[in-house]
Amino acid sequence: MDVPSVIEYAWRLPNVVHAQGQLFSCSTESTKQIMEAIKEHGLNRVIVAACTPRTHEPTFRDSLKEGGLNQYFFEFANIREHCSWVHSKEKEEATDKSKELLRMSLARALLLEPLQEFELPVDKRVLVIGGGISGMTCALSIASQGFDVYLIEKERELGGLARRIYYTIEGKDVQSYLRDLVKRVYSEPRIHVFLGAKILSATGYVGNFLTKIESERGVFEIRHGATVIATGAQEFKPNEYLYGQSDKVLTGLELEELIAKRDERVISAGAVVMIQCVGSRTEERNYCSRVCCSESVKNALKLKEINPNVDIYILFRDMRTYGFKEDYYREASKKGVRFIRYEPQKKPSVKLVKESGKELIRVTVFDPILEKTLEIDADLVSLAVAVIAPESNKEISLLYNAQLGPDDFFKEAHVKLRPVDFSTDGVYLCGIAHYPKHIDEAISQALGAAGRVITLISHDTVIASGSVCIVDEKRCMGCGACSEICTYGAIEIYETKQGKKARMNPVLCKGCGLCNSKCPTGAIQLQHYRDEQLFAQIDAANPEKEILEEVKKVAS
Amino acid sequence: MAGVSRLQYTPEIRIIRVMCSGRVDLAFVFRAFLNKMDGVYIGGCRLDECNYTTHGNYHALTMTLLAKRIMEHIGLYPERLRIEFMNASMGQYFAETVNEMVKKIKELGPVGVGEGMSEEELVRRIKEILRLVPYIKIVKREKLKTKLDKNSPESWNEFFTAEEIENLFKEIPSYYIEPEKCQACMTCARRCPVDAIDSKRGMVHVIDQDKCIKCGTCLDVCPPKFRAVTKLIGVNVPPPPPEEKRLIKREKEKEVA
Amino acid sequence: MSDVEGEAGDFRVTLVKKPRYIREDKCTGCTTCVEYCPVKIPDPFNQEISKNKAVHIYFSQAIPLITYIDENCLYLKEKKCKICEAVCKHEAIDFSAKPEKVEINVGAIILSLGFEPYDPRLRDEYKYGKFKNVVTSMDYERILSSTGPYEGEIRRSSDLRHPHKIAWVQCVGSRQVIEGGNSYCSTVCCTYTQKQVILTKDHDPEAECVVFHNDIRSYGKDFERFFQRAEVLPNVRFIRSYVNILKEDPVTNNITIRYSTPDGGVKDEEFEMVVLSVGLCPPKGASLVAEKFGIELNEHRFCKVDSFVPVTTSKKGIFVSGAFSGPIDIPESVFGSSGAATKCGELLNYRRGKLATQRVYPEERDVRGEEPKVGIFVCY
Ligand SMILES: Cc1cc2nc3c(=O)[nH]c(=O)nc-3n(C[C@H](O)[C@H](O)[C@H](O)COP(=O)(O)OP(=O)(O)OC[C@H]3O[C@@H](n4cnc5c(N)ncnc54)[C@H](O)[C@@H]3O)c2cc1C
Ligand SMILES: Cc1cc2nc3c(=O)[nH]c(=O)nc-3n(C[C@H](O)[C@H](O)[C@H](O)COP(=O)(O)OP(=O)(O)OC[C@H]3O[C@@H](n4cnc5c(N)ncnc54)[C@H](O)[C@@H]3O)c2cc1C
Ligand code: SF4
Ligand code: SF4
Ligand code: SF4
Ligand code: SF4
Repeated sequence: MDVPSVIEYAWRLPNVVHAQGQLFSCSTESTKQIMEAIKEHGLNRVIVAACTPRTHEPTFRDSLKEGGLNQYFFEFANIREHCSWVHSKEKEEATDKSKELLRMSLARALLLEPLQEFELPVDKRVLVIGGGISGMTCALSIASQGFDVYLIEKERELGGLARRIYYTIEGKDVQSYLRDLVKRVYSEPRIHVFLGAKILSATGYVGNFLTKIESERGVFEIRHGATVIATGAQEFKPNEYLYGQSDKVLTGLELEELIAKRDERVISAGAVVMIQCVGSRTEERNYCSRVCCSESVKNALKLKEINPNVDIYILFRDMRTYGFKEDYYREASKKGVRFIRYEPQKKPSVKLVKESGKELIRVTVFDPILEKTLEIDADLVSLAVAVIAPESNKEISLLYNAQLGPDDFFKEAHVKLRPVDFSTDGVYLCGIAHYPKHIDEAISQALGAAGRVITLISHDTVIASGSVCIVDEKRCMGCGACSEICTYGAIEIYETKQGKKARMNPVLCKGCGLCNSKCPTGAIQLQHYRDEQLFAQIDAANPEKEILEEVKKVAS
Repeated sequence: MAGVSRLQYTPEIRIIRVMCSGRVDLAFVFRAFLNKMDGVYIGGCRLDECNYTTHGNYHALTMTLLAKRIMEHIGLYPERLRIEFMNASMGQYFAETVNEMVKKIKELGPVGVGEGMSEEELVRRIKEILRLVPYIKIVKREKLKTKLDKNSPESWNEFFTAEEIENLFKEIPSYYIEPEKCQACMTCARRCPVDAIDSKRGMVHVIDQDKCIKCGTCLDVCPPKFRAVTKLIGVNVPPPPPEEKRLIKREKEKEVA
Repeated sequence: MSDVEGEAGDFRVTLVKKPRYIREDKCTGCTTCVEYCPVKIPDPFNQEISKNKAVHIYFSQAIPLITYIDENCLYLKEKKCKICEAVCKHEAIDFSAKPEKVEINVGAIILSLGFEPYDPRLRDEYKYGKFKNVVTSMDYERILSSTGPYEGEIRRSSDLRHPHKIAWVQCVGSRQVIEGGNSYCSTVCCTYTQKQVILTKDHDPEAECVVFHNDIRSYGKDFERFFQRAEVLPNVRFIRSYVNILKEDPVTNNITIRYSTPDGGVKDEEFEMVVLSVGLCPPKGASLVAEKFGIELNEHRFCKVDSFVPVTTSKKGIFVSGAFSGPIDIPESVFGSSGAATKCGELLNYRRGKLATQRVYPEERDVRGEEPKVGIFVCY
């Protein structure tokens, strides 16, 4: 590309008081040059014609700040990515195009306005909702880094689901870990536990939440800068396979409890059948509950340990003992646990029978490998039931603008890259409230959420971008087209003497500008991308007109 | 991506940056055609992969489909407008679709010329649409919000029908203040979002039809005891009363007294 | 990393920085040198499927986005050539660069060494490297990518044609207690295979895709729906069977796979390409790192972690994140990393903020009422 001719062209554009070439604009040397030029020539707009704003905009904005100029007076003309690199064989065209891009940038630059990024104070206290393993782990980590945590639990006891889990598949003692965890929580002076708690209301936004709770200790108003949702999940109670009708049919956790207590029924059992995917992977709950395959293998191994002669059958669709848990699946298999696959259209069936005076559960299942129907008489049947999201997630979701996914588990901001954030700033997520997972995974995620919380509250303020919307009340007709599409809840319609009007909460605005495109009257404008700024840029693409002169008029 | 990978594409395009394709206003599209741009290409993130929870790209999609129909309605080739969804690593796709579009547009010829339309006519038609953008946004608001099925792009084309657009333009209302009824209370003038109402104390109010964006606020707010504003469809707006006749009776009587 | 000394709160780590032979402060990433470099090498980023030059940018989103010189450089090998030095306008080429020793003092360490994809050459039966059109899933990831060896087109190496019938073989190197295999499940391959199937169908709606699997382990969030999405695509079959990669047609280089059918029989079917869904192995050099850092590895040679707190290693002040703690996918790596970071925060909290200084900017000039005065800077 012919850079000198682009520079020469720049000089011919209106209001240009300085134009120069730079070998490498983003180098420290060059940014210093920009800063000096601002001072020397009294520049109040700066255009850099280089590569991409995506990576380099912050660098140049910084030079403006160093030069004592509002950073929003900066404009990028991407002549590298949009011209020289992509039209490298057409030198002349690339040069001409660069000039046009420069002219378009200039048109916009003339209309740029100084904007302020505002700093919001951050309340350093944190609210953690849910006192299971995840909530407690998260609270402890935050508190140990010097911040106050309000841990609220709806039950009268901490611990959540883990209270019913006795050991992990690796054989670790969950109850003693849990006791220790609870003890650490109570002995940490920075953690304030509220049991029997219910959230009455919640308002506010990142850095400044206000939550009102009712608990055993009375009604409290809590101010906090961050919110962690760790409300866990529940065991599904099925109404099939005679569950609730025969005491020989249990859920996995119920069996686990019997095993832990060395219940006579377990010790004397001759045959135990475990049925997988009860309530999971169905039309109604179209997801895998993740923990149940391992839960069954774990129980099977324990049963074999207590009573090596017991016959165990695990009826499964796919064994999902992922990762290192596979080794335990293999071990169970080696120890004689029989794994029988069933197809969802040929689910096993159970019925109560009496054999020689003894009540048994007869399980019938079609084995696709042997290609025949098997009948197993079991003393106990354990159902690997689904893990389901608590009903109350819906309330929490509304209170904190924390979205739910299709199965009512909480939905993270980005599945891959932001797995503990919500798209609502200042609200975080961990544990099985996000999706079923094992204890170690829940702990890892709880620490992850703590890390994100600390990233926020270790600063005194959060900086909100200056490129947010503002409403010109006079122009607003109160139609609500803007507020209904802003999923960040940044726009509110309120009553005034002049009828309904839109009002912005600039802190919540993310600057996407959708509302601007929806507004029929142009009352709401995304600053830095205002209608007239973009119009000017569009107009300046037209080489025929003396547009710049017109823009100039508007600008002055 | 197309940039850093040095993917070559044709140099006709000028890229204007917005933070989300949802920011692309219906007015931008026609403003570009007014400026003799022969085509408009909107690039958004892949559907369901919007950087914002607003899913602006779905809105950009419905806006594009609507704009295409309007283009047809005023005699422009809808192929001059195109929307594509991609992510940062799809530079190749960007280059390909741009090349394809530029090729197509070269076949169509310059805007207006290709359609066999005189320049004045083109400008007149586009300006008319630009004037109606607020009205179109109000009437099509619900539909523009629709999240289309991303898996069946073949059905998108039918989302807005030619007939619907026909009706849209047939039913353009005008708001008119009946001189006999207006009591010059100034309510409408205060509330009109675009200051389209000429209001002088004691004088019949008059709507400047060129400024009016047809939002209907005046109709809604005119006090029920007066009901001076009417919505006219399909008829010409009567000319405003001459200045000397605008004095309101009540005031006139006072004057006499 | 060459050496570690000290303890939690005060580690001294010695790093050896390999020379890139390019001055980072001078190179603009213009790639003129790449154009002129005479040495073609198999592109390491693209699984050595396509070619790159001895001097090149590692990949198009590399940070920094500048070149480095590979050890295959003629000058480095035989002290001749230096063409790049002559063509670089920015004087960025620097053959005098030497490995640099860097000493850093840190309070805590996070090991994020990741994983090594399973090498199917370890077992003959996979025919990787023998049959031309047998690739690993890692190869296939690159083939699918728009910055990959074929610029986003799916091609096979034997004749560069677009294959229309592709088979995936699951659990390659995983879930097997045999020589050269891993006993554990690699957790990510079931789902990435479904992703690859979906992407393949996006590229070529006519393509026939067959996945030979054991269990389908869609245990993660929304994975089940993802599996169903892949499963119902036209011309996509999921077949539960072990396979035998039988033979390669000497003319077409197509591959025949033998598998069992639900009725107990076997069937031979020909494919134009076969993708091996390779598992995740511990990173290369794990043992060496473990030795130097004084941490323990588990029986699979991944990092041994606390059984309840999986970001904690056996040594105080050293944490782990990502796939080095065991086969996990991206989201789990990401939250675990944040977790490891917070653990460092707990350890070093007493001196938080001690190294930070506030940056002060000059006061902002009020430009209201000024005529616009524009400065334009054009980068060469
Ligand atoms: C059937 C089953 C078997 C399992 N087996 C194993 C296993 O073998 N090994 C293993 O590692 N993991 C297993 N798990 C997973 C393990 O239970 C969890 O990973 C672990 O308990 C993490 O819990 P949590 O803190 O995220 O949620 P929970 O333990 O559910 O805790 C959430 C807490 O939040 C409270 N809460 C909910 N809503 C509110 C509200 N609105 N306000 C205040 N408080 C609220 C609840 O009362 C509860 O105390 C199993 C889970 C299930 C369901
Ligand atoms: C074919 C395939 C497809 C996949 N697809 C997906 C998918 O679609 N979605 C998904 O979620 N996951 C997917 N995964 C899994 C995903 O790749 C991993 O979860 C993720 O890469 C783990 O990240 P990491 O940072 O822990 O490890 P890595 O990505 O392996 O990164 C480790 C880094 O450490 C460096 N390193 C190693 N040793 C040293 C040392 N001694 N000194 C300095 N640096 C060192 C390495 O060079 C490397 O850059 C896929 C995996 C494979 C094999
Ligand atoms: S720009 Fe986007 S985030 Fe901001 S108020 Fe408008 S719609 Fe909401
Ligand atoms: S869309 Fe415009 S007119 Fe309607 S409420 Fe919002 S700001 Fe007011
Ligand atoms: S319709 Fe709306 S824009 Fe037109 S005059 Fe009435 S209030 Fe004003
Ligand atoms: S994730 Fe699937 S393919 Fe990978 S090892 Fe586990 S079962 Fe096999």
